[in-house]
Amino acid sequence: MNNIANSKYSIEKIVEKIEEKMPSLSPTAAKVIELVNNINCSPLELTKVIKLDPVLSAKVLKVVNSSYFALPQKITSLERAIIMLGLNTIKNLALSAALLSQFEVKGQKYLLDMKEFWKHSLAVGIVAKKIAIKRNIPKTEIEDYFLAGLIHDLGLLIENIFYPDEFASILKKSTEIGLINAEEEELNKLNHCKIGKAIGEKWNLSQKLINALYLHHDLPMVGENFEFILTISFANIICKKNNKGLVIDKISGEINPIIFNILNITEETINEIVEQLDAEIEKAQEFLKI
Amino acid sequence: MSSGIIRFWGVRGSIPTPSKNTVIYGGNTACVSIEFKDKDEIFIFDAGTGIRECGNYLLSLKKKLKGYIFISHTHWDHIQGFPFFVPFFIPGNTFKIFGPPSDVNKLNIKQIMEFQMKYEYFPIRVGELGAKIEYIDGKVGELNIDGYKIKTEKLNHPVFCLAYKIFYNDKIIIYGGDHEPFRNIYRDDKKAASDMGFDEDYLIEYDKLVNEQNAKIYEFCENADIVIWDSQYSEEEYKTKIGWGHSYYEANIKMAEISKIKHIVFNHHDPASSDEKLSALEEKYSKIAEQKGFKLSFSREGKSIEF
Repeated sequence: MNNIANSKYSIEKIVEKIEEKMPSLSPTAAKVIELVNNINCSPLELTKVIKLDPVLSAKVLKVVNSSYFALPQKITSLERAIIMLGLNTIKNLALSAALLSQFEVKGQKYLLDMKEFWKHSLAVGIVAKKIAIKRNIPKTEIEDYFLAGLIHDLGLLIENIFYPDEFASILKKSTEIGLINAEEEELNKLNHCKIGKAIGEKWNLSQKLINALYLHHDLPMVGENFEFILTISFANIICKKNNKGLVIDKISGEINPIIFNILNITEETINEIVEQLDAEIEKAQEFLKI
Repeated sequence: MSSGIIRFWGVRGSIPTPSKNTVIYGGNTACVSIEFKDKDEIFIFDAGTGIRECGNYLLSLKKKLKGYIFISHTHWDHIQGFPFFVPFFIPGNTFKIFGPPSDVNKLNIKQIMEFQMKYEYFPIRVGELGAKIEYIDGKVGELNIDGYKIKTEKLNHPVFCLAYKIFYNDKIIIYGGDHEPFRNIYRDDKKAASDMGFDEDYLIEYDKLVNEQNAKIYEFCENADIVIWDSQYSEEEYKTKIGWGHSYYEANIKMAEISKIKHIVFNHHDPASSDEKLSALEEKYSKIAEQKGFKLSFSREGKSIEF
């Protein structure tokens, strides 16, 4: 296997070129197109579909946080972004991303099972949000948890687009040994967390979301926003352990009990959340007609 | 002693409306110019079909031209006259063009403006324009252009749209592009809101955001001497045009009061508004404004305001 580090796939090059290549996820595309082609499209329905797609969600936040608008504070809520940008801008943004997913970009192969990837992203978002609700996090911050969970694996999609051949090998080996970052580093000196962080920074996402993209394989116990990151990482582990959507690096062994203590949450509560998860995902599938 | 003059070359919104019913207020689309006393440069706002007449006026001055063109946004009624602005064709003239880029489709203002001069749309190529033209992507904030202080603010319109505020001596003049007062779109659909778990707390949260956004616009316009502002509809007409990105008379009167604007100019008239209708409206609303202590007029093509 060629080591392609430091050659054509540097983070800088990936981040620079990703803009026009980043499609929305195929499970949401048909619904996006249906909604944007309806002149009387309900803003809430459009919000709903955007919130089911990690790429669209990140793209909307990217535009609202663009340096052109010079906002004093980063916008993290999609609902706020839609009020500020207006429905038409959102429709055009969503449509261009959805259309990209309808065409295979030259040389682009999808090795990830997109439906399973989508399910995992959504599941992590839902679990993170539900943990936040159980922990009595202020209402206005709850959606940050969902969004962070939804977009945490954006870096994987980017790897899939930029170096599909190497990514195929990464996927195969990671599945065998149960460690993805190590395999990514071995082959490319890059991993999806570093790529996620770089794209989050380039797209002016909030620091919380950038941390979720970068640190969702860590279990921080101290530091700024550590409980937020820990919740996303924990939700990621829970979804993998329970096979909710795509699982590349299967988690084995017990969950460190300290996490339950820090987050002040019981195993029973987590079991309850997991039990409700399938119904939530089915509801989303029904809405998307997939 | 006046500080300068504002000339209205195109005051119609959406589409040119030449007809016997639009002779008084005019049928050309958006274009306004400002000349400051003792300054050579011309400031032009928007390049709708009115910019053609503006160009003819500038040619009559028989001098080398230096100008700044501020595009509020790139919908047709604000750019369509661009290729018909004769001063662009004359070597020795120089123009700086400011305007919002498209972050959605990754296009800068130069690409957007020049697109309409492609072979399929217009017989003259961009390369054939003799004047020196420089493009600058507009953004929210403060611009310092050759010593002129200009501030911009983002408006609520279905594309990136800017208002421009110019400071000259002790005068503040604002040219607003198209703008619909911000509103809480989530209150319109109660059933979907409840399906998505948007209870009253959430809706109140978004009401606050909307109020903040509107307050930002009021603050931008605060104590301005002259504000030229999108006034396409009456409140009654607006009810059927919600989300189209335009304001209405009553909302603008409220803004003028809150922002303590000295003179508000209702601009960007609806294509369906005849001279007869606009005359009646101007009489009605200017009286209301007078009672409230500020001046209100409707823009008319070919007319000017000294300040």
